[in-house]
Amino acid sequence: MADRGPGAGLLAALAVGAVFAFAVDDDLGGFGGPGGPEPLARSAPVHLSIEEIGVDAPLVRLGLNPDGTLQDPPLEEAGLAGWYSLGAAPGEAGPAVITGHLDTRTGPSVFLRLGELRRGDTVRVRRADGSEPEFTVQRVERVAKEDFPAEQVYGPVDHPALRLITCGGEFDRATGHYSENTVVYARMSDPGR
Amino acid sequence: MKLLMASGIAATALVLVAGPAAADGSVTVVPREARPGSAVVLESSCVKGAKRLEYTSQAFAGTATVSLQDNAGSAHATLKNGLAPGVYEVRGECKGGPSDEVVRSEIVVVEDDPSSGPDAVPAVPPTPAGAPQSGGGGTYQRTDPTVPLATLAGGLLVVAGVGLVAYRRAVRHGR
Repeated sequence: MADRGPGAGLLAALAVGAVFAFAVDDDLGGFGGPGGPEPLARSAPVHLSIEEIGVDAPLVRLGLNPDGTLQDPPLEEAGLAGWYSLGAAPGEAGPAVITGHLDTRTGPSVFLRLGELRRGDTVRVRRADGSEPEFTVQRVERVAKEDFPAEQVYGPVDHPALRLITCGGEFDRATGHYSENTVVYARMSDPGR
Repeated sequence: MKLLMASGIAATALVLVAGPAAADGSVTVVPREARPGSAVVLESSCVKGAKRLEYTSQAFAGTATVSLQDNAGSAHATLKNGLAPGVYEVRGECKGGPSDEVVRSEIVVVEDDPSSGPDAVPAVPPTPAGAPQSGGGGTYQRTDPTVPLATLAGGLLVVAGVGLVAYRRAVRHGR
């Protein structure tokens, strides 16, 4: 029983850490609900703004690589993010997916601070048709790449949703990739027409 | 398959044209071909001493301006909606420096094809394979507050525990 003190302290620290993680990832009682804003007609997004983390970025279109993986925005263009153009557009019913790099080979990139977003934060998208729908963050999660939740990210939903994705964790210099993804789940709270 | 090949070609083209900014009065435009309403990146450089580059084009919704660092920089421009397909000149004027240098390039505006553009989407959008490799170059230093918060909470508990022990000892010795 001599080590009970330090062991109990460690358990308490872990418990507190778990509470923080739960507070960040909580997805209970999402915004909008069944009575949320009506979906918009499809129009390509051209700009992304997230005031809380200083994002003010043009959007380029992304498709699929020959191996079926998602294309990335140009690595050295630190101010750019990319929209998966074969999926839903922001404002349409369905999950619109926008990715951005965490860093470049020389410094920070557009989604460096994505993991700082919290439930209730606002994300704005400007679309080619001039509308500027707003999305409200529901939850933020970090996942190991081998456990990437493809169904949650890309799977069908009956409301306009937004997924913001970047990388995190440890950087493997051999592969040139990070070990984790940060995923932000949001849903439209104002169509901005 | 056609889509995959097109995507592959586009990805390769993106890599090829996304190199260092030109230093010969030309402008690197990424992507070289774009649809109306989409965003493009413009990279170029000016002679020493220029402060900014101002890009104009009949294809742009407005003037795209970038402040130069070491005489070079990247600007972002948005193409007008409803543009007719074709080749449009891009003109950049170096400002604030010793000369009135002009850099030039072109951008190819392609038809907003409903079969592959934003006006239609496959009935069942293809799900990309694996996890997005949107990390970058590995220069990131861990700043996500999730870990520091947990660490901070643990640290506070330790400090509180040490304080409690010290207090009890002080009380005991004070008796």
